[in-house]
Formats: sequence, C-alpha cells, structure tokens
Amino acid sequence: MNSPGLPPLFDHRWLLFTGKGGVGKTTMVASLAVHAASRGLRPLIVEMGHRESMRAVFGVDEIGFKPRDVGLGVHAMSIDIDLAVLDYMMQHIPSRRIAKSIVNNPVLERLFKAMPAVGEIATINKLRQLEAEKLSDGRPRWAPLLVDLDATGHALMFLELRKTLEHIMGTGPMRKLIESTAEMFADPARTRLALVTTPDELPVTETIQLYARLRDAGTVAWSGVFVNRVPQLPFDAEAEPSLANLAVAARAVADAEIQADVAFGELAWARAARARNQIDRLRAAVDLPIVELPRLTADRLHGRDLALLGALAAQGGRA
Amino acid sequence: MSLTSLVAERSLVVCVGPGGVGKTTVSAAIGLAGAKLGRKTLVLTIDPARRLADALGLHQLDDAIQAVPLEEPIPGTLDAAMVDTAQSYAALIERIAPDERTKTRILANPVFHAVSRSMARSHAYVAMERLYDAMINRRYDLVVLDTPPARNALDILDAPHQLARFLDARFVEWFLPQARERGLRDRILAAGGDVAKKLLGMITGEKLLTEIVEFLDAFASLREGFVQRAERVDRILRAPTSGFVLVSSASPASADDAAWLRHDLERRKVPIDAVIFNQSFIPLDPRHPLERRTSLGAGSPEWAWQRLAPHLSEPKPVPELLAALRELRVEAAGENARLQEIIAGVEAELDPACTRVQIPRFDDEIRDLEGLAVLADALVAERPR
Repeated sequence: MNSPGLPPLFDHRWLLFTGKGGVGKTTMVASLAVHAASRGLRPLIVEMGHRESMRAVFGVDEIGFKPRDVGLGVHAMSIDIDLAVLDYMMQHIPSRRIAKSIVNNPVLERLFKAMPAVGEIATINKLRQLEAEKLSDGRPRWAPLLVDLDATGHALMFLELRKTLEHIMGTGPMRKLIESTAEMFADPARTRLALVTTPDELPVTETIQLYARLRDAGTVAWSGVFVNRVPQLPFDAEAEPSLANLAVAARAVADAEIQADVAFGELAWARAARARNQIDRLRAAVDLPIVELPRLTADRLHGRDLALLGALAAQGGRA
Repeated sequence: MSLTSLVAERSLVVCVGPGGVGKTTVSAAIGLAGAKLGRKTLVLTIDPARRLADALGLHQLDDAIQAVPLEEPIPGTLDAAMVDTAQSYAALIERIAPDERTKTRILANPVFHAVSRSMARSHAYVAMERLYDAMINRRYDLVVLDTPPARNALDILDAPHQLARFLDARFVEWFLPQARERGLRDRILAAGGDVAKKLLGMITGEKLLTEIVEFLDAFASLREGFVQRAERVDRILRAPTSGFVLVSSASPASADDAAWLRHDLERRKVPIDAVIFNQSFIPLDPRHPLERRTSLGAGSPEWAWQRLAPHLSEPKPVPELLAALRELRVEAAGENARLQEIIAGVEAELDPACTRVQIPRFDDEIRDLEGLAVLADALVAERPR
C-alpha cells in the first residue's frame, strides 16, 4: 500500500493525538506545538485528566484548567473533568442563582459526576469554548488546538460518543453539542487525528486496530502515523555476514568484552530488523502517511530539541 | 520487606502505575513468582492485550478464570482472568439481582449499557468487583490485581464506590417519588428533585432523563449491596495483608507520573510497599542480563584486533565493525548512567522501608511463559535492602 505524503499539519484548527501509553505522545505534541509557535501560530496544548505531563516538558510548576504560557510561544492547559462539568452546568442553567445553588448542592454535583458520559460531554463543551475564543482583532485566539486524547481507549470514548449515546440521547443542548462535535471531528477541513506509536509489536497492533475501527466508522479525519524511537541499523549492512566470524574469533581469544560487543551487536541488529518488520506491518495495514522519527537519546528534551523534532515531524520525518 | 516476602506472605498485591511501563506483564510475572513459591495464585488483569494471553499460553484468556498451563511442575498454581468490562457487569447483575424482573430491566436499560461498555470509570470499578469476588471466596493464597493506568490515587481508591455513589440514597429519593416517605424534610427534598429533574431535562433532553430515572429505579433495590461491597473492598485494599506495588519505567515521563501517583497514594494513607523500575537498564553484556553496569571494562578494540586477526575466517570482519559494536555499548553505558540518575531521583523520595527493584530492559517483548519466568526470577532475585 502506498503512503501518500503527510498533509500540512497546521492548516487544521484541531490536531488530535492518541496512542498507547508510553509511546511518546507527550513529546510529540509538545514538539509540534513548539514548531507551530516558531512559525508564528498560536498553539494551545490541551491535556486530559490530572496528568499535566507538560509540566515536566516545559519545566513549569503547574498546568491548570486555564491556558497558561509555558514558554517558547506555547500555551497549555489540562482539562479537569469536575471543573468542566461545573462549567457546563453554569453555562446551561438560566439563572445564576439556581446554577450556584445547584453547583453547591453536593447531591446534584455527585449526580452530574457519576452520570454516564457527562464528563466526556463537559470536556467536549470546554473544547468548543476554547475554539470559540477570539482575539480583539477577531482572529481565533487558539490555532492550532493540539489535543492529547490520551490512550486509545480514552480517545475512542470521545470519537465514538455519538454512537455510544445514540439510543439514550434525546433532544436538547447536549445532543446539539454532541452532533456538532461529531461533525467537526469528521470534517477534514477542521480536524485531523494523528496516531502515535513506537515500532514495537504491541503498540503497532493497537494502532492498526484503532485505525481499522475508526476508518470503518468514518468518525474522524486523518493526519498520519508518527512512529517514535525508530532504531537505526547499528552497523553497515555489508558487515552483517561477517559478524558470526567475529564471534568465533572472540571466543578463541577468550576476550569477554569483545564477546559482549558481538552479542550486544547481534541483539541491536535483530532489534532494528524487528522494528523494520513492524513498520512494514504498519504500512501494509494502514493507508496513511507514516512518519518515522529517530530515537533521541537526550534524557529530557528542551527548547531547541523540541523545535527540531517538531520540524522533522511536520515535514514527514527523515527523508 | 523484600519483594520475595511480599509475594510469599501477602494475600493481595495491587499493581499500580502509569500506562506503557509493562504493568500487566509485571503483574503476571509477580503471579508466577507467587505460584513458584508454592502459593495458589490468581492474576486479574484488565489489559486486553493479546500478548499476555499468549505469554500465559492461554489462547482464550477471557473474563472467566482459567488455569495457566505451566509446562514445568511448580509447587503452587497459577490462574488468570482478563476482566472484560461489559461481561463482568452483566455477570454481576446476574448474580446480585434479587429477581428475574429486576435483572431483565437492568440488562435492557440503555444507560446501563452505556455505563458498562465504554465510560471512563467503568474499568476500574469492575476490576474491584472481580477482586471482591476473588478475595471473599478465599480460594486463593495470593491475588495479583493489575489496575488500569492511573493518574491519581482517586482513580484507584475511589473505584469501589462509584456505583454506590451513583445510587446515593438522597438522589434516588429525589428522582423516584415512590421511594420517598412523607415528612417536611422529604417534601422539601421532593421539591428540589423536581427542580433538578427539570434542569437536567433541559440539558440532557427528556429521553436520557427518563432512562436515567428508569435505571435508578431498577438499581435502587441493589444499592445496599453495592454500598456494602464497596466498604468491604475498601477494607481489603487497606488491610495489612494487602500490598501496593508501583510499577514505573526509568523514562523521565513515566518516572514523573509514578512519583505523582505515589505521592498521592501516600497522602491518602496507602503506603507503597515496593517500586519496580521496569526497563530500567540495558544489560551491557547480554550473557549476563541482570548485571547492572554504567561503564565498560578496560581494553580498546584496536588493541584487541591484533589478537583476533589470526582467528578470523571468510567473510572477514573489518576493524570498523568492532569499533562500531564497541561504540554501541559505550552509548548504552551512557544511557544506563542517565537512567540510574532518574531512578536515584525517584528513590530519594521513597520511604526507607519501601523495596526497590530494577528490572533490565529485556531485549524482546515477553511473549511466552519462558520469558515471563525470566522476569519472575528477576523480580524476586533482588536482595532486600
């Protein structure tokens, strides 16, 4: 299957990201945001839950429910479900007095929190508010909005919300919100979903499954797949056939370090080959641009590294 | 307390941690380590990954508890189940519904379906119900619970209470007039309930509201049972016979997440008994995978080359190959040093009584019982501090 080139990322208002835990979503989102800012855009990173992973990346003490400047031209926030629910209630209850009394009523507050889908709906509501924010000159305040949807299961909840709720959702503002958001996610002019993975069996399998499910459902417009931490070949391919002979010689001279060198090299070679197989498997099953990104050895990425990685990712990875 | 004593003595080990650190695999390995120590062990996992089923040699690992077919005889036994949220919910209702009518009503209710299939907090809740079941039957010496990736302590500690809270007596009363008694207080509550219903209806639409009321009505009779079970699970989690193991990797992101989670759990008086740093170092000599080193031995490849030359046959390796191989290990040693620094940072904040175990970055994903056994042995090989 051919993979067409990566469409320009920042032509879309919404960039959504998902992938299995531990594949480097946070770094991906942060680096693309830094790159967007370097091109004069006004990126906002939106995280879900209490994770605030961006704290460590940008070295700030706190990331809360309000967008804040985290440096390098990037703003970030984290959507707390409880606060989003509160926001939602305040917005839909006509009288401020009643709204307040309800917000302060522990029973109702709990009901809202425990009701199915309310957290997801309130989160979407918050996203739409952010989308609507304008600068004084009328331009959108945030563009692009980079949303880390978190692990794939969590992402599915948002992307399939309309389907999950279709049998219980009556008419009313909640339905309107869900409908218009589902349309927005599926609109390639406004939204793109990027999948993030590493070239390992489990994350690749999860990526393929998620792709198939969402493609069949047609609920979202696609960006591409970012493959993080692709290992490079550890030595020249022509040298590989002679590796076994080096192993024989190392045993003959009983040099433990050289024996370790050879054993280590064999494993590194096998690892690179396995990664290549996984990427091939991905290409065969997923009809999207596949962007390969190298393993970065730096312990924490900062400004310049993020900008470089972002630029590399945005142009479609290594040539 | 060493991880070995934890596995040998406790009756419940709860594995918590951020996503992507190998928590499910580590949970299975802890279970296997328990079985090897002669205990009747059950591993409850929530990860639907096919790989774990394969690693356990169970091609049909599903919601039902099954015996893991161990090739070599070991003193104990190992059972496993992969908790399926929808199936477990349905089985739960089957078990606890007082009569056929209640059961049918609940199972047919669309709100119940939405809750049991895909909503955010369902996974953790159902895992706790399964845990309760396994613990209360006392058929096992050791239960290992693999929890969903968690951000904060509440994701774990609040899980048992979710349904009980949803069925809070006060709002069941609000929504179900027939459940109400008459009295001044109740009439005020009733008025509040009507307002609440109207407001909810404006937001959710009439249909969802009707279904929610129907759901609450069908569930109301089960409420007492949910509350009691939640309280018992709570006691089980906090019993001295239970242990919490935090699984992290040595990557900066998961170390941050793990530190956050540990802090939050301890704030809520749930001490972490052991921290397992999975994938925490690269074995510099693959023949000794448990050896943790941050530097290489002396001797340069250039010097070695002269000794090697007489023993080389065709196709002959070139010196550059050996240099490239050595360079790989030098880089790995440097990475190990960085990883150790990250781990040291996390360890500095740990309670001195907390066990720390470092597991190497095994070269391949664990895909069979043999691989799992290597991990299990590595877990209990570490001497107590």
